[in-house]
Amino acid sequence: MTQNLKYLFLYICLLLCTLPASAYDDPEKNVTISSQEDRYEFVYSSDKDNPINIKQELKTTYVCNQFRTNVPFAVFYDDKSRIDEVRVYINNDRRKDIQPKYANYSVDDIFYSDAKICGLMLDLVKKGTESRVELEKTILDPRYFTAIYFPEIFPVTSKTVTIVIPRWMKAEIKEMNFNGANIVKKAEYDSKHDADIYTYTATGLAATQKERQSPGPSYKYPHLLVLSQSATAKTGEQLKYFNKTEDLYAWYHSLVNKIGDNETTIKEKAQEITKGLSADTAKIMAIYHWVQDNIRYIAFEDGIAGFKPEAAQSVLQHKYGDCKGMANLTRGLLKALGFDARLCWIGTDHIAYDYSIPSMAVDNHMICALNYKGKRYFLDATETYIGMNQYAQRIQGRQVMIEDGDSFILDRVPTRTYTQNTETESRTLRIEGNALVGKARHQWDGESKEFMLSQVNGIRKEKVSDALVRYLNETNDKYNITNLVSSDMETWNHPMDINYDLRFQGAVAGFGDDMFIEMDFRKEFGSYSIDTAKRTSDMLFQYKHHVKHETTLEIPTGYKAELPEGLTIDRDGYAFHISYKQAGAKVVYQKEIIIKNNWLEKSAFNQWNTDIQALNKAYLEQVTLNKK
Amino acid sequence: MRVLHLTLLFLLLSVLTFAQKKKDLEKYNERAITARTEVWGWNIKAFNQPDLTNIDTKQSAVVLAKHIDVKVSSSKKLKASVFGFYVQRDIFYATTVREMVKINDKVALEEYSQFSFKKFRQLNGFRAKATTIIGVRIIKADGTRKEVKVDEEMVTEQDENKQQKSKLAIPDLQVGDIIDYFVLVEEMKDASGAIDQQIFVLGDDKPIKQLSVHCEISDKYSIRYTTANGAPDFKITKDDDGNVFDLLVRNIPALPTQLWMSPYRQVANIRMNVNYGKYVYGDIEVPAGSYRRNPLDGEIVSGARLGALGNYRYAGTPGPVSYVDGVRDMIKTYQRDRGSKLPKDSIPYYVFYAMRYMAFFRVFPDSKINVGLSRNLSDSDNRLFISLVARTLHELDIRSDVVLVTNKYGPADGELLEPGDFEYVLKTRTDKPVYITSASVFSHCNIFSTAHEGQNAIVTNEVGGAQKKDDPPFATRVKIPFSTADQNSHLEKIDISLDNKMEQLLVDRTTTLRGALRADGQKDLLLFEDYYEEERQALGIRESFMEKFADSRRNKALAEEYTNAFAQARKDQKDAFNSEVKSQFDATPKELTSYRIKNMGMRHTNPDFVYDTKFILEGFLKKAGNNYIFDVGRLIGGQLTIKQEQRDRKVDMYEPFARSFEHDIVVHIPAGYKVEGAEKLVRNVDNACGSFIVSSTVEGDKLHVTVKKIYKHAFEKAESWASMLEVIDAAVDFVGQKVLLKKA
Repeated sequence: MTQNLKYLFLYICLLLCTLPASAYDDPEKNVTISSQEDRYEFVYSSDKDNPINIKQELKTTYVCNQFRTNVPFAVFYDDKSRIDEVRVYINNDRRKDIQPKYANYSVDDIFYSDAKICGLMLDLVKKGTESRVELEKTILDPRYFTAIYFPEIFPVTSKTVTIVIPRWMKAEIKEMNFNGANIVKKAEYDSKHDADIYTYTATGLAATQKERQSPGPSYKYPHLLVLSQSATAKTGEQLKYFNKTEDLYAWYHSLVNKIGDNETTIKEKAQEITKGLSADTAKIMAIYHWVQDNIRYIAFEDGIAGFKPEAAQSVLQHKYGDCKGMANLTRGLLKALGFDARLCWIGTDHIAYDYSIPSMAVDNHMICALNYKGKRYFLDATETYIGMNQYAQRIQGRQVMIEDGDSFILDRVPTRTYTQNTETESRTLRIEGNALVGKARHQWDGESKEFMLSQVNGIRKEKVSDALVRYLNETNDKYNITNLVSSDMETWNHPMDINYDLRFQGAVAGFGDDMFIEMDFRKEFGSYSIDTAKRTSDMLFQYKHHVKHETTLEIPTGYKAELPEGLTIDRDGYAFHISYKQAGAKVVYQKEIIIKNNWLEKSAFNQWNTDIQALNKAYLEQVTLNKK
Repeated sequence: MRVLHLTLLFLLLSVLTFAQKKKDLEKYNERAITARTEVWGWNIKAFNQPDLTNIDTKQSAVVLAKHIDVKVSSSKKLKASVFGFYVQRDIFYATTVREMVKINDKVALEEYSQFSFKKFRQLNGFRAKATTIIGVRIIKADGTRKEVKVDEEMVTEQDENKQQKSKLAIPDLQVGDIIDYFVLVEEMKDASGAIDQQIFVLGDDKPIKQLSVHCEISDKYSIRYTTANGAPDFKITKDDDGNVFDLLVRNIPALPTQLWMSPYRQVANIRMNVNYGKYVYGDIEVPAGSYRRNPLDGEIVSGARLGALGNYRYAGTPGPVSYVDGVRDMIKTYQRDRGSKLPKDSIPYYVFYAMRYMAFFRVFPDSKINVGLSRNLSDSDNRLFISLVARTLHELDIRSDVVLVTNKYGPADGELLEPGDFEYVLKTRTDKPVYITSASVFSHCNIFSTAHEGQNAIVTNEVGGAQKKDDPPFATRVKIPFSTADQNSHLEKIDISLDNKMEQLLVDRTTTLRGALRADGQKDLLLFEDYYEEERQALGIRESFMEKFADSRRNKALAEEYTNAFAQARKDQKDAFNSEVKSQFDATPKELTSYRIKNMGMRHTNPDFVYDTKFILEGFLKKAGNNYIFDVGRLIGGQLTIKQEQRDRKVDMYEPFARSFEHDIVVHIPAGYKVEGAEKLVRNVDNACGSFIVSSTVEGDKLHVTVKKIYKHAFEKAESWASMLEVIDAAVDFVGQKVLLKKA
């Protein structure tokens, strides 16, 4: 879904991962785009199926500032677009010998897509010289013409984006993230062609940056959203695109109507899964769990199939599907048992928009909604290990478009606080020689549980008993775990529980009459300081973490304890609490780390770094036991 | 699934195009149907009635049966193939690998859930092409068998070479199922084309209940094969068309750990070469229709001798010979400018370094500008390199011989199959022989590759020629010596003081890398600009390429571009040093205050790579009331740890080479504190495999700790594993050691 946006993202990934191959090459300085002209025009076409096309003409001039090199040039296309021509000029000389290569574009997590790449390596022959690529591309259907981004992977000195909209075409242009960007707009009317011409001129655009855990491009970069609403075809026929959200839904809904689920097959399966269950909630949970556990997620993005869910019986038979297929199967199984289950379209938190914008750029995901006893639940079976009524960060608070016959319902996935994801660890320890010995208990819920289960299930089975241990002891063999007992790891509708015996060899440093003990083994977030010199975008945590820890240590007879000071930091987005206290002959160490908001803005980085430093300092504090 | 990932560079490689026609596709589809019927119909009990007893569910997957079927030519047998038409004239061969696997967990499910293949492939050579056909069936836990409709389920993409790539996601596959699949590759080439070597490996990372091989090879072909590491021999029979080779092995356990393995020498395997017609090379002659089992080393040597001579001759042809001429000119200039001739025993050294310069350091005006750290990874064809050196030496009146040596990670003596099993080393025929081996940016003259250590190499005289009167005595064998742990050493001299707040370590460090541990460090840290200049001067080259460019009107601008590129590379070098500190200390430095290369170690005469770094580390001092615990053990960095499942080892250890790591640490104790627990740091593990020895003293305001970890040999028998563990564990244990800085 929303392929254009995804392509842009992929495009950036692709280009950045090829660049480090030439480590000597700092694209920021050595190569810049001196000028780029990007022109789009709505035109009539003789193709019956696609009567309106968009012709794109893109001219990009690269300049070599320091030393000769070559740069990749790539554009994406798919079943709904085609590359008409690519011309290469080196120092203004047309080079017919340089021809692009065309191929399917494959990425790791997408099994099959109709995305194709057209690319070439462009030589910059000398310092001060320019090379230029001119591209002509046709977008066949205005629905798929959604966004135009301004920045490139190289800094751009000057860029113009021109959109020619004949008056027979109704389209709206939305300016996104223009704040702080140096972009000037000009609107003209071309009376000869009866067309409006919009020209945006941007200067001094910084290069795009690929950073881990950062917001999607629609949050970060200036871009235009093009909303094609309707057109009068050459024949006089009125063509409707997406004038309102209703139109978008109508189109999606028309695709859903063509799915062709086989209700008998689905019903049989639903009954088989819920055999012996009588309570509604047990049935619902069983269905959700079955789809999570038995359907492998494989992404398909193939033309219209990128928007139309695969039939439920097909997903059932294949035992794999993409988000649409999994949502539709979940819906089918629940409906077969008489529940009110619906398909939902949703844009994950990777996308900055909601359905107030009628565009395919708004969503990228599908889930299933269940209305049960006056409440609405959302089921996303692509999240393999999440429990019922728990939501992954990426869909929390996101607007959903829920099918409702010919109309639709707009709702939001509930937002969960960090308490959904609480992970607790409590240890009761005593000293034996230079070891800490005792019992430990862990509990995970929500996304911390999902994370733990996906980690442990990702390790080969021959080591499964070791896999969990290694997850828990962070591969430190001195942190010796035995007698491990876990709650059922094959179901995840309850918090996950693990108990074990612990012997942490060498954890007690004895010097003379004193013993020194580090009460914290895990030191979560200790390595989370942010390189403010390099990082350009906000930081997103995978989810809202909530770590609770308590260690109780017996004070050996004849010793007295000297305790460090604790730490209390409480900010808007996060909190760190560490405390030590003595309770009778015991030292109690407590820690709580809360990420209240998974989105850490750049403006908070300095404070965050200071706080992480304080946290690290607190982690280095030791409990001292002195002989009385 | 192995999906070909597309990168732009890859995309731009020039390629042959191969558009298959509709007719080909129809033929393909027909062939696929018959192939599936054939393969599913195999009369092999292990497939037809799989043995599901004693399945080790602790394994991710268990191979219930595996069968490899190889057919080489015979128009009679291959009528059904897509290429049937050509078979009369061309080489044809088909390999089917069928495997039936019990899936025990999600990891194995993932591994077997997707296939990627090319129905058609264009091979190098006239009319050469290949097709791939696959078949998949699933046996559910209740015993029902389902055939996957491959043609309906698969999707096809076009790759950058305009070749079609098909992908198949296996439907209805779940944990607990059995997947039964085959991949059939049929290839056609003209008679001069080579047939890929068949390697039958009797082992996998999962247990195999039954492995069988069946090869039918027409009498038009000759066969050679080698059984290695205790692999059983084929049962060989004759049918009306040719030889038939059969092999059956049962209950092969999962292969052991990846650490310190040499699979060619440790895993039972059979390698087989098939040639069209009679095979003659060197002393081996195998008539068509015949086979040769386990050829003698001497016979392989005879072929390798021819190869050495061929390479030597090639080095004298136009093109390669320009390297020889180039080095000869360099030596002339060098001698002229010095006013004296090079002593004869120095010539091989000069020639080696000059040839290294020619291969890796030279810059032409039309060279791509590549002066960053990635340049350090350049490599070249070793055989050509030593042949060029041999030819240059010959012109300078020094003869040399090619030494044939096996790689310890390749097939061993006694299990050789082809000349390519040998690698070449050059040995000068001088009183003190000079050995010339690997060609890379930082290789030294007269040093053996560690992969050759301990091998009993064979000296050939094809290149050197017949023995002359003044020649030193000719030895036909030379045992490549093992290097010692002392020679391959990593030394750290670390001086540490603490900041006033008792939070930071201020580290002043000198690192020396020697022997086989040197080149990796050089690759990570050295700049072309620096070593180019040092080598240019050492070789007596009058003008640097920068000077040349600057003096030339045409290339003047290029000198400026190089200056810019050098500046960029120098910036990247700081990141490289940062990473180096991080990897050595398992901690990101708070700040890298300075770094400096003291000695580049470019030559055997000055062989150590030495550099200084100054930086700040945090997190090593832990506050305990008024006192501090100092994690002194962590200063030796991350140590090799042995995972629980690796601790039980029954196979020999092929380590890279003997080596030693030494840390000489001085900690300046801050005023007002005294050190406690220094004596507890002392370690004294010393056994036949290695040692881990720590001494620790406090003198005045200094804590002095020396840590020495030694791996004594490049190879250890499995019996020594316990001793090896003792050393490894001692080092791991030391990392957790601490001292107390007690407020006085």
